[in-house]
This record gives sequence, C-alpha cells and structure tokens, in this order.
Amino acid sequence: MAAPKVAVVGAGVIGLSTALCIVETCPSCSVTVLSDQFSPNTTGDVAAGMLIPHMYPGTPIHMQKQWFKETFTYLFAISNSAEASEAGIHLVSGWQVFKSTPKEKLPFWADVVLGFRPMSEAELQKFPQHQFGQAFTTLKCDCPPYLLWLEKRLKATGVQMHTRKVADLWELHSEFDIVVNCAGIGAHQLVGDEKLFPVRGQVLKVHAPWVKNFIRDGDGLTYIYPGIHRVTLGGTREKENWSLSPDHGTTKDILDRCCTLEPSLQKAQDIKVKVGLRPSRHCVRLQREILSQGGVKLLVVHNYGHGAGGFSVHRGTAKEAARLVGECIAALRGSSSRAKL
Amino acid sequence: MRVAVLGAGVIGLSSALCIHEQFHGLLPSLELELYADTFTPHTTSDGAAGLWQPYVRERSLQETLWNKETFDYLLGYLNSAAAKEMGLSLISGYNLFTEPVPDPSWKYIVLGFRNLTPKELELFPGYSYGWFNTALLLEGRNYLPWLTNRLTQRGVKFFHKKVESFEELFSQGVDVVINCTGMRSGELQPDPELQPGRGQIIKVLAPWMKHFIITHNMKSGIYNSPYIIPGSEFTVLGGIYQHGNWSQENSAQDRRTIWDSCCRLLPALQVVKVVGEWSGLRPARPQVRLERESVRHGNVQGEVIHNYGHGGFGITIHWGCAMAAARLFGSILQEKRK
Repeated sequence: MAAPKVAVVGAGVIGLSTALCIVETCPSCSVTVLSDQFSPNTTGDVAAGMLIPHMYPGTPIHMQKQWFKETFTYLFAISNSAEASEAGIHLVSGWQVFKSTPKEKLPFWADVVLGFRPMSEAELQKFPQHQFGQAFTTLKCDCPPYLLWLEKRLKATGVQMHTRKVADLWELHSEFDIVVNCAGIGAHQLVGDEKLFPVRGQVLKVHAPWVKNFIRDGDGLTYIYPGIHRVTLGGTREKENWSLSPDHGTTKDILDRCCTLEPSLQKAQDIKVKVGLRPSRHCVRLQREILSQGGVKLLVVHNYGHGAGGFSVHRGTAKEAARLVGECIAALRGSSSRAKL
Repeated sequence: MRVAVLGAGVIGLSSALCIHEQFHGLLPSLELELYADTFTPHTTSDGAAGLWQPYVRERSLQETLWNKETFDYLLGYLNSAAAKEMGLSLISGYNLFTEPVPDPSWKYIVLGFRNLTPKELELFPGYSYGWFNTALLLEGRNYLPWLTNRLTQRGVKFFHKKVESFEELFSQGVDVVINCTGMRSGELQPDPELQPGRGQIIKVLAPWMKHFIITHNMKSGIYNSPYIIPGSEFTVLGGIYQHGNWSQENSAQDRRTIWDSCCRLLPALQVVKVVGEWSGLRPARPQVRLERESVRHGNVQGEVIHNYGHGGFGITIHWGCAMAAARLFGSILQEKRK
C-alpha cells in the first residue's frame, strides 16, 4: 500500500500536536491538516495554556496522570532548550489558594509539577480571604507562539496545512485513508456528538509585566496567569453558553475578583477581552471508529473533548491518537493484503 | 532644627523619608534638606536589578535584622495601591550551588524557602544543590522617584549640589548631617574600609523569564558567577564583582564573560535582544557604617550620622538602616533637649 494519507481535522493545540505525533511515529505517512481556523483564532489561543490538569470524571485517574506526565515531560525539555522562547514554553511559579481547606489536599498531579508543597502561614498572609494553599512551579504554553512553533515543525516535515471547513467527515474519504478528528468544539456539529458541550470562558489579557507569579483560586474560577507579554485574568465557566461575544459586566467582575487576589492589577493596562468555548465532555473522546456508508468504509480516530484541560494533556492524548492511527494503518494493510488473495 | 541629608540614592532618600515621617510631627521646626550631585536615574541604586537578597554568608546579626526589617516593611506595601508605582513586586527564583551549603540567615525572612528537588536541578547542569524561594523585587528606577515624590509632598527641599565638606554645611547653620554618600563617602572623610565592588550588567529583553536565577561559586566569591534577574521592563544579566576597581566604563571582556556564562546557564538567552549595558560601583565595606560622629572644625561643629557602605545589598537593607539612622537622630534630639 502506498504511503497512508492521513487528514487531521482541526489546527488547534490538539490537531497540531496530534499531527506532529503521527509524523513522528509514522514517517511514511502523508499528513495534511485541515481547519477552518488557525492560530491566533483557535480556542487554545484564548486560554492561558497553563499546565494544571482538569479532572475528567469519565477517565481513569491513572490515565489522566499519564497524559499529564507525558505532556509535562515533553514541554519541560523544550523549556530547557534554546527553542524555549520561540516555542513560548516557560516555567512559572505560584500559588493555588482555597477559601476553605479542600478535602483533597494532594491532587493526583502533585508529584508531576515541580516543588509542590502546602503554602506557609507567611505566604498565606498575602491572601487574607483564603485559609489554605499550595505552592508549585509548572509550565505555561503561550499562544500564539506555541501553536506557530508546532506549525513550523509540521511544515518542516512536509505536512500540508489548508484552510478548509470540513462539514462532514465523508467529504474526505476519497482523498484520505484515515481521518483524525481534532475538531474540538466543532465536533458537536461535525460528528453530531450531543455529549460534547461548550463551557464558555471569558478572559482578559492585560499588560502587567511586574506580575511574575501565578495565582489561582482553588474553585478554578478566578486566576492570574503571567505569560510572555500579557497576563491572563480569568474567568468564567458557563455551561451550554455558545456566545463568543465578550460581556462587559463579566469583564468588570473578572477584574474585581483578580484585583482582590492581586491588588496591583488595578494598574493593569491595555485590557483585551477574549472568549473561548471549552470543548467539554465527561471524558476525552479518544477512540477509533469505522464509519460505513454504502459499502465504503472510513477509518476515523477521534481526539476531542478536552474541556478545560487541553494544554495539560495535549501531548499525552496526541501520542495515544497517533498510536490509534498506527492501528488503523495496520488494519488497512491487513485488509489490502486480504484483498489481494 | 536643620537637617541635611547627603546623597539621593536609595539610602539617602529612605533615610530622609524615615526621619521626616517620625519626627516632623514631634518637631515642627524640623527643616529637612537633601543635597546630591547625582539623582535618579543615574545613581548606583538605579543600576541595580533590585532583588531583595542578602549575601549567602551572614556578615553580622545586626545586618540580618536590618534586612528582615526591610523585607517586612516592603511586604506590608505589597497589596497596597502604591506597589506598582514603587516598583515593588513578588518574584520567585533559584539560587544554585556546585556543592551543599548551609541555609542562609534569611531563610525564614523570605517566603517559601526550600531546597531544590532533583527534577529542578535538571534545569541547571553543573549545579548539584540549590534553593527556591519567593522574594521581593524593588526596582530603583521606580522606587527612587516614588521616594522623591513622597519627600517633595512633605516639603523636603532638594539641592542639586556637590557638598565638599561637613563643615561647609555646619557653618551655614545645619545642625545634623545624614551622610548617605555611598561609594563617594571617602571624598568627605577618608575611609580605607570603603572600597568599590565593581559590577557590570547587560540589560536584555527576555519577557518569558519569570524567575531569578543566581549562581554561586563559593571560591570566586559573591556576584562573580552568572545571575539573571527579570524586572518589569527588562531582564538583568550579571556576574561581575571586582574589588578595588574604580572604573565605571563598560568593559568588553566583562560583557563577554557575562554573556557567555549566562547563555551557558540558559541557552534560550542566545537569541535575546540587548537593550543596554551599565557598570557601577557597589560601596563595599566589611560592615555598614551606621553611627554618629561629632565633627568639629575650628569653632564650627555638628553631628553627623553616617549611613553608607551597603555593598551589593543596599536595596535589601535600606529600610532597616533608615530606621536605625532615625533612632540615632532621635538620640541627638534628646541630648539637645537636656
């Protein structure tokens, strides 16, 4: 069989990292990325890109931890290399603070991030409304730089990237052998997944270069994440809200909540408001599917539904998706040799 | 009561502010004047990165107490509306060593002090031991103008003038002189213990850097090993300490040393844009000179409070020393009342 032709639908952090993993594990594959949006207009471009995992109720913890660990290890190596600033990957230290002491004081990812420990009394003094906290160092993927760096790496391996809205996976069956569905929130329409729902997040990206530590409220709603040029202030978690328009009242509310945690943000300048729809699901849909229509088969690998945790697990799920693509290729080779008999 | 503060670096400005804050209410006749020939942004304090961190080896308990007083004082301002204008912010980072060392005197002063984990040490090949902590950044280029504004608001008068002698001021009716002339104190009164600790830095744009990284070579001494300190507008690369070198010219060799050693420490720095260079003289002394002296010249006399010789830790220790200077001033006042 000729070089397998793989289409990756979606050019967000999941699509690009998955395409890269496929190229790495299957150098003979011809990979094409198709997406109606590229950076800086993907969902991931809105996110801060912090490596702090989100809990998926439907995925075993050991699996989530493995994905996170793989992602952390991969990015840690980049942050430690000469490419760090181009790739937009950098270490950032800070605190997760809780208004009341949580039941789970040691999250499953505590030993993956660096230097995880409870905050001291002296550190908690900075947060008079909070009783308990955790200090650690983690990684941040700044976007657009990270996505542009992935695009650059893909182009260097010969991967084609096309702006194209795919309305139906079947459109692709004549051009491609395998389709990898990394459409994120777009999967709701693309494959009719009713279990996928948006969780709207509004954030502010502000100029406040003196803020060098992250601060996150344990409830996950309020956070301050310093990036290369801007600090991301968040946020909201609005289930089933599809609106991509910024809400003025929400902007003021985010600013108030963040200024309570970090009063110097009152002096933040040049506030840019962004909205993204977290492609949320009970669990990440990471599985093969064989679609059938009129006797024709289409091999699909799904890799979507990462919700609030896309950056944290992206490399781990990309590797798993690439492995599933490998299975598809083996299946195609098996069936083509059977066809010859 | 006329008081003249000499020097407009961090020591002079903070001593003036501290004295005015404490005594203005008690002494309506207090007239505070500040004399200097160098003001922000050209002082030694302006060139420093502004990281609060004492030396690794404790010099004296007294200096440790002044350091602590300064940290706690600044911490109190952290959540205030003034913080940004002051150039005050929290910053976390790494101190790296090639061998285990005892914990520093300031381990309980800073926040969250701990040893580095093996995973963290992977980031710094060649270093086998280290510390992580959260400290404060107080950038002179913001702090000095802030102090100046506070003083101006309080009616303190500034004079752009080089004072040639203490007597010059006493003969004009000044009662007390606060000598905060840093590196050039020797011009007013020879002090062989005061020596320059020349430093040079490169300013670069490295906005992804969110931590300070300070390496230590216990053999070559303090600041003679690369350090990287990100500020609010640029990142400082340094690692030069030359005892006895009075030159304030940027040296090409030192620039190469700083650049090579910092890029070895952090390869990502190779591509950064250089936006400036500076060299300055740390006013080094075995201990800070913070004491009273009665100065008499003919029939002119007055009290001098010396407050100089803060080496590479002026910002770190400044408020503790300002408070000590204010206490000395208080004792002068008390004597005058008898």
